[in-house]
Amino acid sequence: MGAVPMLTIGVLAFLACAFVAALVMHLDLMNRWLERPYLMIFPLIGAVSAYGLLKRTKQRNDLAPFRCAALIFIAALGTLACSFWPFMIPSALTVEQAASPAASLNFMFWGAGLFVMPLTLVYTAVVYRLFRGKVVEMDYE
Amino acid sequence: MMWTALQLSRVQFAFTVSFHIIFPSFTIGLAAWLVVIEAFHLVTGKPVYRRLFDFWLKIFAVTFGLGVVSGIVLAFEFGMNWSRLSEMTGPIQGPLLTYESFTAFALEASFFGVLIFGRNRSSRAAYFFSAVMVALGTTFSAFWIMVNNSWMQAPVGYAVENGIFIPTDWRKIIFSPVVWVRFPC
Repeated sequence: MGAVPMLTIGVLAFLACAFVAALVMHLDLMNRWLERPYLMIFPLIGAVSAYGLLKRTKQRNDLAPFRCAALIFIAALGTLACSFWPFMIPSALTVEQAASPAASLNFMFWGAGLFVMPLTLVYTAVVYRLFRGKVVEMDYE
Repeated sequence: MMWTALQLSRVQFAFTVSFHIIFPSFTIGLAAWLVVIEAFHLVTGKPVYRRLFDFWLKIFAVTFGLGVVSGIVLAFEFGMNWSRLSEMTGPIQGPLLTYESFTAFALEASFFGVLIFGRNRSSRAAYFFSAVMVALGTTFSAFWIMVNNSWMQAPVGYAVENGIFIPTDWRKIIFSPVVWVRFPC
């Protein structure tokens, strides 16, 4: 448990630096955050999960810190996505410009999207379930 | 002699692709071989098949890993060395490579974990099933790569609009006669 608070602070400091650096480098980003303050929900979720992570670690709870840590990264990626949306490459290429023509997207949606993707999720869940629980003792035979 | 960017790109691609292909071609056969040994083990129950399986599984694991990391280099080269090709043919090659990672690589990688660490956690039938899925994944992988490469050798089912290759008939692309001469052999 000793390392968790320090590592958490390190991750948060890095994320904050990345956020500030993005705002300074692309000033139009700043306007977006000022115009739509409700976007602050993502950094807020991150902050709450960080608090939860530290608190639950102290309580020696096993599962909750993992969930909080996952939530921090979801919040960070959400912040990134709504900072740059609709750009894939900031101020150069939007999602729509980067997308394939409809004939390609259709082909992917009706096969990979509708059938293969759910199937993949199912067997991934099954394999995850197979390896559920904590590793008590490593054995490579 | 001055090397041009094109020549350097070609040399780099030739080296990386030649190095890469050693590993997948080995794992495609080896995955099927693992299924055969595990089937013999299931049917006869002889411990020698278990020993054989464990021996080849370790070799499979290392080869699989090398195939993945040497393959990722190629994916970067498609975008960087051959960016113009990718820009022009991306609407066709992109979905084919997407299908490769979706139907083949995800299947292979998920069940590979069961083969390596899941012997004591799964039933014998489930373990055998995982071996079959890994073999199926490697074969699908070869299939999609063959479809993509066959399209590059003999393009069909496309129209060129504004210098971009647009797919017009996916059935023609996937069931191109070139694929079906090259893939089964």
